[in-house]
Amino acid sequence: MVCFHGDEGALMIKEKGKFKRATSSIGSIANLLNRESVFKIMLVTPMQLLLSFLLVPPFAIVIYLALVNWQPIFGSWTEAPFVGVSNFVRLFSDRQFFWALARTVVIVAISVSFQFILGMALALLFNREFHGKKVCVSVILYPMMLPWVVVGFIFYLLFLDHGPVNYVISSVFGPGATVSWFSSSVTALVAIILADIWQWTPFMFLMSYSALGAVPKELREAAMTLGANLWQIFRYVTFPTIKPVVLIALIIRALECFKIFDLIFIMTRGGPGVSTESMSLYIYRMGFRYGQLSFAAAVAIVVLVAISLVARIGVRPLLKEEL
Amino acid sequence: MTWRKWVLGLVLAGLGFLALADPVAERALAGLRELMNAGVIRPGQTFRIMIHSGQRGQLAPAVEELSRLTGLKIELVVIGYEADIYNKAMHEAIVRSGDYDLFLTFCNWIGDMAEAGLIVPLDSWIKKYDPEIHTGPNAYVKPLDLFTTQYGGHYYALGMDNDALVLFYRKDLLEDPNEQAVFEARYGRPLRLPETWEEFDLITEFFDRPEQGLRGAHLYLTRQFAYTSWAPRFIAKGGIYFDPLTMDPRIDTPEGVEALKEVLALQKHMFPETYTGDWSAAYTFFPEGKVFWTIAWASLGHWASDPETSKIAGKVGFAQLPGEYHEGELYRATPHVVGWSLSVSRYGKAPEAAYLIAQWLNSPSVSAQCITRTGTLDPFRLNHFKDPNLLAAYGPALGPVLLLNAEQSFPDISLRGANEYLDVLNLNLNAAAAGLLTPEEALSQTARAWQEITDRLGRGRQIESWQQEILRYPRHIRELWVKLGKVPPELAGL
Repeated sequence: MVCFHGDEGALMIKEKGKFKRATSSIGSIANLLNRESVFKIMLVTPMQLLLSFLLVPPFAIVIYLALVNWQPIFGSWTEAPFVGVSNFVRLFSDRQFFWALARTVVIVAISVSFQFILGMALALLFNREFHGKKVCVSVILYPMMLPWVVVGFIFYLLFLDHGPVNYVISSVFGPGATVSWFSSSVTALVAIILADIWQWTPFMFLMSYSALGAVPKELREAAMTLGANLWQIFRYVTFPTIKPVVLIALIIRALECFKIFDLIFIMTRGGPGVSTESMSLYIYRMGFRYGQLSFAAAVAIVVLVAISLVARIGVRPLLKEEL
Repeated sequence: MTWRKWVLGLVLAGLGFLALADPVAERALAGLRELMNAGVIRPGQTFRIMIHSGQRGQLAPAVEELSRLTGLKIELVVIGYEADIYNKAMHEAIVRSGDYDLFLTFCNWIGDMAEAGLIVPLDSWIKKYDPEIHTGPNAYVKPLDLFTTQYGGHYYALGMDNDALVLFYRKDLLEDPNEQAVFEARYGRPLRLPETWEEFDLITEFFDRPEQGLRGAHLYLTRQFAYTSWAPRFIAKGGIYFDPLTMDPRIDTPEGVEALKEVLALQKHMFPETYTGDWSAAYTFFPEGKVFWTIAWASLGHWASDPETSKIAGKVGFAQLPGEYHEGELYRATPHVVGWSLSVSRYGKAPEAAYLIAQWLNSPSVSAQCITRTGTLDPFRLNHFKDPNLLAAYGPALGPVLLLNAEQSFPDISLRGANEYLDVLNLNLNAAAAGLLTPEEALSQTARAWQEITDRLGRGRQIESWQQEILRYPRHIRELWVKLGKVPPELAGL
């Protein structure tokens, strides 16, 4: 049997050497599939079902936990008393939550900004041919391939009071110039942010570098012919072309950085006190160290909603461009 | 003779030897044999014990031996970071996977684990197999027999450790006649082991010589163990964590604030790692001869006395922690910090068999062998303090001091929610050490958080538990509390 679409878009079936319009149920299904929207849905349905199966039950449990008062030491979670929104009310009256949120936002803002600037600068530097370029690109990408835990330990050891960083500082500026990095919230956060920048600048470099490679040379050449300088070429030709990729990279990094846990856990455990505690560490402390899983679930939901809104705002320019 | 007979002969010889040497171990093996005959367990069956990495070297040979003796397959599941053990154990309380048969955890977590239904009460098995906890020449050092094994009036664990803290000092410096003369000229009193915290502070100041690479002390003010430097002063001053009738926190009191101010005043004589590092910093600085004295667990005695791991081997002294005078009488309070105990999972394959494995490891002879090897488990039974191998490992001078300190030790908070109570205290003390909070703020914030925890967990039950816990404090502390009106006499158990 041979099928094809006729002039009016109807499915035609070849039977006994003649084509005729399909009117059977097969034809109806085929017609249905022929609609673009239905076809798209059919393509994503299997994966969506699988993801739903994996995501919906745990998410339902998280919502359930947030609405009851339960800790493992209270016994079975299925018998926990319903408390409505009291976990959320408690959350919004908890100063430590807001501090953790503010701290995380600061880490994301500083860290991702530096990663973007450095990554872009490196990408522009590498956007030309020179001897040993491939080796240099590989070397730049290595930090990104290291596990968080390893990076955390490396920077913890580097910034110890008797560690290499202070050794260099005391060698150059004298013993009085050393810094006890993990003794104050500011210096400890600086160490954490430096570690994050070191590890994830390569990612921004990689994304920017790939995007730059896709910018047509003709555009730049045309701009140069018209008398544009290097900054103008970057500002009005290169950047608008690579903007969607850069925006996606920034969103990915910002979301990832918002979840920062391992580096802080290894380097400061959130200390001194709770002065370097990020949102993930706060949830970990409440949920796992204190066993307040209901409260931690409420925090997780609020954070999820907040991140979704921010991500939506971040993606909006891309959607506009698509339209 | 076939290989089977060889194996059987060896097993019988081993059992016979243990029967003669250690009835506790023999009862455990006999119990396992019975369970095997009854079909409750079978040869080759796997039992898994969750432990900390610091105990692997101590327990691995014993576990191998027990596997050989019984035909069971006993595995150690090693966790690297102490706090993760609590998290993973409580995770098991939720998922009930049955992956673990025994947990070797801090003894003040027993309450949480019992309340979560994760571990089973051991009363009936302790009665049946008698691990000799309280009586006999091999009993636990008192009061460890209470606070490393019990919660809510029931046995939930077998203690495997003695974590009463010890004062380690540079004997060569303290006994140097020149140093003694200079000290006496400067302070008008002899240089000697301190009886009081005030003397301790003066000596710390005296020996703080940064220009010579020697700091006065290393006291823990870290995120996890800050309370260990504050609590002995607080308790010795007559402080008590909670009001025994209301459970209102009693730490933001003059005793509490004064104790914290004293500790923080010593920071200028210590490395910043006291609050930025972790517990291992003392195990680095003291054996390297970089600090005059430190307060830590007995296992530091191993490190500091061994020429392979210490630059000051042969120069180390061991002492009791100082105290405070009240009406002419000296009151010392030594914290028993954490301490490891074995408890049995409710979701394991055969809880009774798991208990018997714990009893075998805990038995006087086997535990002595384990502790002789370097690790984080320290002597806790009376026979350990007479064991020549063990005494040789710790050095003859440390044993008597450790025994004395253990007898005067007070427990960590072990109530339901103990982990949370202590963590909140630690993080606020650590913040005070970093200058982020004043001593008053640190303690009042802790007190507020403790009120919230108590309300959340149920004040009535917490009061009941705290009144039981008070009875585990050494007698002289309870007497002091009664004298100062902190505890009604009828609740002090005197």
